[in-house]
Amino acid sequence: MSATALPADADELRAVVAGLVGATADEIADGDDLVLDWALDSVRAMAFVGRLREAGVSIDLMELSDVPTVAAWWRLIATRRPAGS
Amino acid sequence: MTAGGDALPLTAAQTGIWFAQQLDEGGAAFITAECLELRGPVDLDLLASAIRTAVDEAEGLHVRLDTDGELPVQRPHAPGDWPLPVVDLRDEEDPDAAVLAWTRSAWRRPLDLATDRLFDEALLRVADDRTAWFQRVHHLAADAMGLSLIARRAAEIHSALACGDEPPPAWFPSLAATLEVESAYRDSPAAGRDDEHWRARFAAPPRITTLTDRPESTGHEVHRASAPLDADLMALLRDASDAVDATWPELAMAAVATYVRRMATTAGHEDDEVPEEIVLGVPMLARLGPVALRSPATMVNVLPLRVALHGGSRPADVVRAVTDGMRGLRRHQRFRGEELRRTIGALGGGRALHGPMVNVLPFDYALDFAGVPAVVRTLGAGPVDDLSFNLYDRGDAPPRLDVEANVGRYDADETGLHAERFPVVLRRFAEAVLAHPEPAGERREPPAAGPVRDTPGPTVDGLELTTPEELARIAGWNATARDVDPALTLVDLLDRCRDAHPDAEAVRLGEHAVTHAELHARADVLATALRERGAGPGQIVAVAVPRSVDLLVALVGVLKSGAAYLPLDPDQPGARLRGMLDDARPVAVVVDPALDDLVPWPDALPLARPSGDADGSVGRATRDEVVAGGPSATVPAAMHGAPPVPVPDDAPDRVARAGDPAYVLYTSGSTGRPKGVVVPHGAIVNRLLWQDDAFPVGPGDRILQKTPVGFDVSVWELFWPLIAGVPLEVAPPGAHRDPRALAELIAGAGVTVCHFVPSMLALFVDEPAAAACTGLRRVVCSGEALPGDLRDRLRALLPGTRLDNLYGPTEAAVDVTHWDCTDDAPGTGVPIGRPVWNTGCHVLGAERRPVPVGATGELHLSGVQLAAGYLGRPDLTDAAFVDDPALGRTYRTGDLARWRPDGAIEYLGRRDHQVKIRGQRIETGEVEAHLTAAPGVVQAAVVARVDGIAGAATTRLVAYVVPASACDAGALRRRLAEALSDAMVPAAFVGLDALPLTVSGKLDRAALPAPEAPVAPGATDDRPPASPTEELVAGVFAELLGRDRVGPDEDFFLLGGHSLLAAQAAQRLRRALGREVSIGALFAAPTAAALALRLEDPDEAGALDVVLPLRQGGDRPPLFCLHPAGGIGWCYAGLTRLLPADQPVVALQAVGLDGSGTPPTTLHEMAADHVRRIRALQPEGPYRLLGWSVGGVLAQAVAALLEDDGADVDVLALLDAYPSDQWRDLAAPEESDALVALLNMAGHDPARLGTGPLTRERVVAALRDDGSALASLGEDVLNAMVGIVVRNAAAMRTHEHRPFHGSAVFFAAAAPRPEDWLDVDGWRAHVRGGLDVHALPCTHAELLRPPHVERIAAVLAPLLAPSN
Repeated sequence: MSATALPADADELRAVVAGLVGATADEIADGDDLVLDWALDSVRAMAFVGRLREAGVSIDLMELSDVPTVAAWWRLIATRRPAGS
Repeated sequence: MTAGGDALPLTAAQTGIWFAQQLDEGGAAFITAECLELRGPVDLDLLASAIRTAVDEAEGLHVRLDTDGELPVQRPHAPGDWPLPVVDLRDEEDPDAAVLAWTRSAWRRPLDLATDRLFDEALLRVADDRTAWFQRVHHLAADAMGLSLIARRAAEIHSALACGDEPPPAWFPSLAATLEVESAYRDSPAAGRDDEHWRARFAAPPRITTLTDRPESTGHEVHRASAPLDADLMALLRDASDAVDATWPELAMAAVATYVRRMATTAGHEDDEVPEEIVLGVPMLARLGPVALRSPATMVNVLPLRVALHGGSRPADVVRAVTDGMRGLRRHQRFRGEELRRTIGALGGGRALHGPMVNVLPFDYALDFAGVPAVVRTLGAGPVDDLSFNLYDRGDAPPRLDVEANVGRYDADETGLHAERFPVVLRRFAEAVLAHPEPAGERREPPAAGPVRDTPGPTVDGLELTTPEELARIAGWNATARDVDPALTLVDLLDRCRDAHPDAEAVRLGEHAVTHAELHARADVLATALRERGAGPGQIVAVAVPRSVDLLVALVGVLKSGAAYLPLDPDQPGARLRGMLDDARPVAVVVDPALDDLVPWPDALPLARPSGDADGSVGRATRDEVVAGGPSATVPAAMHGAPPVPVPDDAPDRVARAGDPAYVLYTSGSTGRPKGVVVPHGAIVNRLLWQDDAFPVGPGDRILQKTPVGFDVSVWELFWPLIAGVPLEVAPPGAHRDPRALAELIAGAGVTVCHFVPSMLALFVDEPAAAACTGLRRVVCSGEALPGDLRDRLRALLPGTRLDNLYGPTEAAVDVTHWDCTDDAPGTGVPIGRPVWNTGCHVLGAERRPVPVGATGELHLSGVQLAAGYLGRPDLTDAAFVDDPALGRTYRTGDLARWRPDGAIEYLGRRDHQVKIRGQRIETGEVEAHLTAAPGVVQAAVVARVDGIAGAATTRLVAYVVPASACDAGALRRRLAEALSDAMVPAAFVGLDALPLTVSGKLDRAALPAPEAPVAPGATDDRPPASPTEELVAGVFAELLGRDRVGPDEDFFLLGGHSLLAAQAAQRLRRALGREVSIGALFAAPTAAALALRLEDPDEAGALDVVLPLRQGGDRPPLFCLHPAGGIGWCYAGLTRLLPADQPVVALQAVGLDGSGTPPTTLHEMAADHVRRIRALQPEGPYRLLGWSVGGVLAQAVAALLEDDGADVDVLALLDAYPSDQWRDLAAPEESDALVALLNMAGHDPARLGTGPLTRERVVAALRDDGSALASLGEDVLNAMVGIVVRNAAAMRTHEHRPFHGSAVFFAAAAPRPEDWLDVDGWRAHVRGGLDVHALPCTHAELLRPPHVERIAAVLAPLLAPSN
């Protein structure tokens, strides 16, 4: 994901997340628990929150952490993205 | 306080905290706190309201802790109206400081879990536009994350209220919901998987490395030290971690692991293994899922992270190891650390799960209080068992490092040093990562040969740990330069003193004293004679003179001749001394005629007498055949900076210069040969002038010389007085071993300064005569570690006496560091102190680099006091004396040490296998070499062991021998004693089939067995003791030698006794017998038989006399012990030893034992007889009487008679004695009954003889096997005794008791017995004053033996106290 562009779809999100956890995109299933299955840490998660914010999406760490899956994250982003992005 | 509702269980986290708090009552370490600063104007009422609402919503804060049976529970209750004070600090001079102080104090206010609220809140007005919100909560109710959630909710409510909106609905889960999360996890398959993961991970239990060696404590208070983490360090951390695909907390963890490994392993014993793994404690938030994420409850879970770490690893590799490890941790982070401890069996066993913790707190705060930003400062994140590195990067607050350290395990100073040092090391680590981020496999190392163009950067071991500040500090501690004229020699100092005080007393021994002028005049004569024999600068002259004024003449004479002296200690074996002579090849020897036979002298060695007579030589050649002494072995190059010592040249009249040798002393060599240390004049001059300045002496002082001349302590004892102009008191030969003789000499001669090796000081402090040494102004200790409690005991005994501790090897002119104990707090340890003049102390680690303050290193020395080297051993000299580019010429001591933050050095032991035994330096290798060379020995190892002997921890040498056939300890011991000094002969020998080895093939010292108390050789052939004194002496020997028993003809010294033990033996015997026992007597008569004979005055009582004093001396009324049936009173000897030292004890035995006298036939006659004797010994009361068995009946009879006479009997002790009435109806005794009684008397249980007829032969054999003194009595005596027994038994049956109106104390042998009709109450008719009965769980025979006799002595002691 570039500095200001949001992922366009769930797969793009999956690729970004794969980068966060040091895996390849095809390894990560939509419903995988990113913490328990993929050992995502809070620092990287916070960095991700920061980048989302810069791109105009306001989701806080707590919300991301509620259901840490690609599927849930995509739903959040899709509903919060600014119009036209 | 509200009572609370239904009980809920505690979470696993809460339970762990609750139990820990039980052990650490009142500890404030369990209180978490934070302070939120709002920077902007706020409506305080609104804010307070928002805070109150948020806090009320957090159920977990409003509980009452309780117990249900044994288990803790929590009872939620309504929040109630808790206080929210507003504190106005705006008018304070420094409001920020005031906030800090107020919050610190509020945070640490004690909290009683049983009665107090679990949280406190307050608002602090700092300025008109700044408000601080203080929260504190007990860790049971919330953790740091929980506090931040409460803050977040409060901000949310406040912002809504400020806009006039409804606050969003509450979102804290209930306490029940939080508990449900935990139980749901526990029941889930994930829990099983996590359990398996952790078990597998910890199948091999980790070895925990940390930065303290103090054990775990129950307290959790911490020292806290902070350091800022500046902006460019943070940027560096981010860049470096990016370069290796890690997060900066992971990089920080890797840096901590590296720091811990490095700090813990800067130096150590050569047998130590460096840890290849560091286990960090990582607090995980462990908040997974919507409930856990939102609950203020405590969820933090500290889990162990195992980080593999090798010395050659690169920092980038360590970071990767951490990131890999953290992935595993995260996946299984819900498994509780408390559970893990239990699972791997670490709970309660003092085995920690992890070492230091790393706590990175980068919470995403972004709090907004109606547009006003808030800055957070965490005050305390929870209890710390060990050490914690907390890194805070909380958004707007400046990032910082807090090091928290458990106060029971770390000092405040060292905590501060870690905080000062770690950011520097962290920076170096991050730079190294950034410089070489590539993984190990991809690295291209530079070619082996040729110039290195691309420096690979530091490895873990290569990372520099010291900060520039601490290096500067250390340099300051070594700034010891003092102006000392480098041309001065010891002779110059001696001459100056003679010129200043020619007629003052210089040296005295007993009645014989000389002035400085006299001493020098005689020395000059000797010096001239020696020069004629070839002595001069660079030459060596040996000196064999006993401690005396002549010794001083000899030493000063040698020095004045320009030569160096080599002292030959008369206490060393001749063979060893001969070895030294062969090695040193002195040009001549000064010999006192008394020592002509000390050594098998080398042929044609020219001799001189202290008087200066130089006719003849020792050895076989006569004067005419003497060839002028050849040149001494080459003296190696001299000290750094000074010109090399010339080979003796053609001008023997040249006086010695500062670079010339002053003395040569031999020290133990690890390969079997002692080595000669050559000390130049300049070195010893510095040492003596320093001492003269540090320990000022003047008129009225007198310094004692007692240390044997082969030890370098003697050098200052001998020469300091002679350069300071203060009289030297010479102790007679042998006196240095006898604490009592020393005490008498010190007090009698007016000695004001003397030296002690700590083990000898311990004996001195125990010596009663030492209390008289109040004139002793100063005691100097060196040679061994000085324990703090010994210092405290000396202070208690002699409060006006200063104590100084010195340290130094022979290779650095006696001592290089000094510590004044005057201001030491009691119970603290004693460091070796600070360097002396012109001396540098360097605590170095790998590659001779300085180690940080507080870390262990090897102590290297530099400066003017270094020896020239080892005589004739350039290889050893080069190995030990190293030219360092930064430090100049240094000597490596092989000692481990560390700097304290105050600049004093602490001694931490050896790197190798050199040990100190009673202050003497010994290479175990040297003893091993001699053992291996002995015939019949295949392999040998010698180790120093610390075992408990005679109630104290004793260090002694133990030899492990693999013999060709059988191990003859006696022969080996004798062989070693002929070649080695007293301290070098092992105290015990253990035969083994093979020496145990470690996996790497080295000797496995830990696997060597403890030596058993050996059976005395030939014990079955050895005879039993022949008298109570012999028995007593043998008993004391056995106790001190750690053996079950010692035969009366066994030599104390051959059994492993040494001079220190001999001094203790003399002390104990003195106390036990109330008689004078000198150490000299023990040396002259080293067996129990011989010593007992010596101690028994021929005019005194024989063992069979009627009146047998068991202990004389003491001013109390004696305790009269009446004999039991056999007529012998020896059975009371054991009891005597246990009674106070000033309690005389007299045994009254039967008439007729030695065949003389007419024995009385009735008990009444016997009693009257004894009364006459008692009155003769003690004309006036009060009288004290004791009797065992028949003796008790006699004692009562004696008491009644004395009472009739009008005398006062204030102690009557009956030991399992029963009144005659209870024996009256029994059949008349036969011989077998008498024999049974005899056995009982000897304390030998008749039942052990089994069935079969009792004959005199069998009984005597049984007694002999038992080692009883009775068995040594001849036939006649035994017959007499049997007769006595029969007579006494008859007398008992016919006796009629007269009443005694006093009281008695009765000791009953309460073990089941066949004579079940015996009843103590039978006495009440005859002892009208009442009975104080003590029952002991033993048989009649065992009553007077340990341990039961100890109980009897304890009961009697207060009764025997001097009467009121």
